[in-house]
Amino acid sequence: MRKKKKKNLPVIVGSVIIGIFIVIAIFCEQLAPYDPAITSINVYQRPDSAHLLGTNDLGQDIFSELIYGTRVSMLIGVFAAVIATLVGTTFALLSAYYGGIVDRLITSLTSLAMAVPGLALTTLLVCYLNPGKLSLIVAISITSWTGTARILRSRLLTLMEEPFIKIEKAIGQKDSVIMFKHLAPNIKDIILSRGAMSVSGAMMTEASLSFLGLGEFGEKSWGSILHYAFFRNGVIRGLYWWYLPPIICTSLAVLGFMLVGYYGQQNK
Amino acid sequence: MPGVARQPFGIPPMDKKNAKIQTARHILKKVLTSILTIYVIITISFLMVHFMPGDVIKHLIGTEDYYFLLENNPEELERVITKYGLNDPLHIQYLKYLKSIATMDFGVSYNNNQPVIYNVLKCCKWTLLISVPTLILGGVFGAVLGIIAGWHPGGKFDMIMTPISLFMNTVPSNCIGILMLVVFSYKLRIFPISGMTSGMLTGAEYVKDLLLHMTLPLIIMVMFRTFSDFMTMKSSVSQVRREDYTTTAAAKGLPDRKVLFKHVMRNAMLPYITSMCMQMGGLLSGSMIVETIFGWKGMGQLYYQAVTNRDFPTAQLCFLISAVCVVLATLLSDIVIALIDPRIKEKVNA
Repeated sequence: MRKKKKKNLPVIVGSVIIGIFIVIAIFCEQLAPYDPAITSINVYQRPDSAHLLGTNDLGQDIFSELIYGTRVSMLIGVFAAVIATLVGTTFALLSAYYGGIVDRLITSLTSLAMAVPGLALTTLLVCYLNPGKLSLIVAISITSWTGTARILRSRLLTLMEEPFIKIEKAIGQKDSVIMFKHLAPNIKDIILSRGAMSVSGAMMTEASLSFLGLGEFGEKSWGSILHYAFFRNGVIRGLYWWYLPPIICTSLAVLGFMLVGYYGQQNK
Repeated sequence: MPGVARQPFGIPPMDKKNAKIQTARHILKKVLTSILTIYVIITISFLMVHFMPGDVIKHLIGTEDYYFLLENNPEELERVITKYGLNDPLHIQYLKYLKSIATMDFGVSYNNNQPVIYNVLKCCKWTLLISVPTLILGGVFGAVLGIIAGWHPGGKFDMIMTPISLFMNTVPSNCIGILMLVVFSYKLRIFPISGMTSGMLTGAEYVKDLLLHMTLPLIIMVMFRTFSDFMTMKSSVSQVRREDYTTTAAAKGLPDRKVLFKHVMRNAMLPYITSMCMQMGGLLSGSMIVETIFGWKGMGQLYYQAVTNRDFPTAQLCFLISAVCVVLATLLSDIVIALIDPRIKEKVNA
């Protein structure tokens, strides 16, 4: 199958971006110069050597906020995507392997979940559940597994026609072994790239929800920083060091995952 | 349906009349599925209120009101609970809920004590004012750019446009919205900051003012839509271009223009039309973020405010409406495709 290994520049760039953000997310205690929650009297300070990105309306150091925000944003994005991908993959495997009534049930469940507008349902769920990391993860992943399930199912259906699967069925191998040891590894490339796309989607949803003020507020994510910058007049007063950094970080992180997902899939 | 003999696989489709019946059956099936989907969504939205953590009455009248009534006026609270029928068993409540939806009685908003349906209809109009032009303009721009890029995959235009549109698809709309707001409204002062009109205007002045307020949100939405439509069209065109019949058409000496319009476009339009139909489902709910940033008093803004103020009847109706829109749009795309794509007809027959 594999002819030659070409250097895939977009994927490399994307991986580097993701890697940097993951390092920041893991070592944020060591990297952040201040505790992001501590307020001070130096409000609305311009960026200088003491505060690399200035301070906000409560005198909190925005650079530290941003570094801690990386952890929250990445955590929500990655976990929501992992759940969505796992659910999607499992459904696709069950549906393609068993066919018949199981397939019909899962397919109609998928089309039902696709009919529900994602952001609207997520907003409503976050509003019923109490705002927090867990409810954000649940609400995001509950609407985002459908695309993965659908794409993987159609791919698996062609795979089911391959001789090696038929042979294994004929010699009476256990269903679970065939599904998870033989079918799943064959589609791991698509699973991974769909997973990367899911992360970027989840991070985008998280950014939107937090921006609307429905996110995590104990620990601020990038979206929440932007929320405060917008709704506490940081944008109107032209405090660019407050609203620009979260915008750049969110876009970069989403772009990183998108590059890996999009170009990783294309060259296969 | 009995009486319709199944054709064995591989035999060409039957006569025209039979094919028409098959198509009608296909569409009828889709319609029934949509009705079922809407019913399930209504049920889900009922169950969501009743199985969420926390007291249902708190969700229905708001936490603050609940504690206020509990301390000052327990009889009134009891009356409200009875009014919502919360003492009834669940299935009775469910039937009542279905009845209220069937009679279009969605309750009263907590914010201004108007019937919810009245508020929503008022906002629908404003959202449509920006989402319909977005659909049309974005659709046209996206299609044109996508055809140009897809005609020469890997060409210069494609190499420039694809990364740009990929990037535009990744930037969350709130980020771009804020940046545009800063540049065009605060720095350059070309467009008004927020809201829909300056007030106190009539006639032509009013229309001009409204258009000025509309421009910035519209530009952002059109931009996003154009780039996502561009990706759809590009991949569709470049796929058709690799097909054998396109090569044949070019090989028999047809000029490029004819190959493009007669062979490539016709086939490439099908997925695009599906995607356009699906986008109609987002006409009412797709612009929440942009509306919030620009203070555009449409459905998105209403929904957002309902959610933040814990105004559950409004939030629920907005959710239902947007879900129904998506279902109807999916149905529309199924019907349109079944009518225009001969391959689907064959698939139905097979």
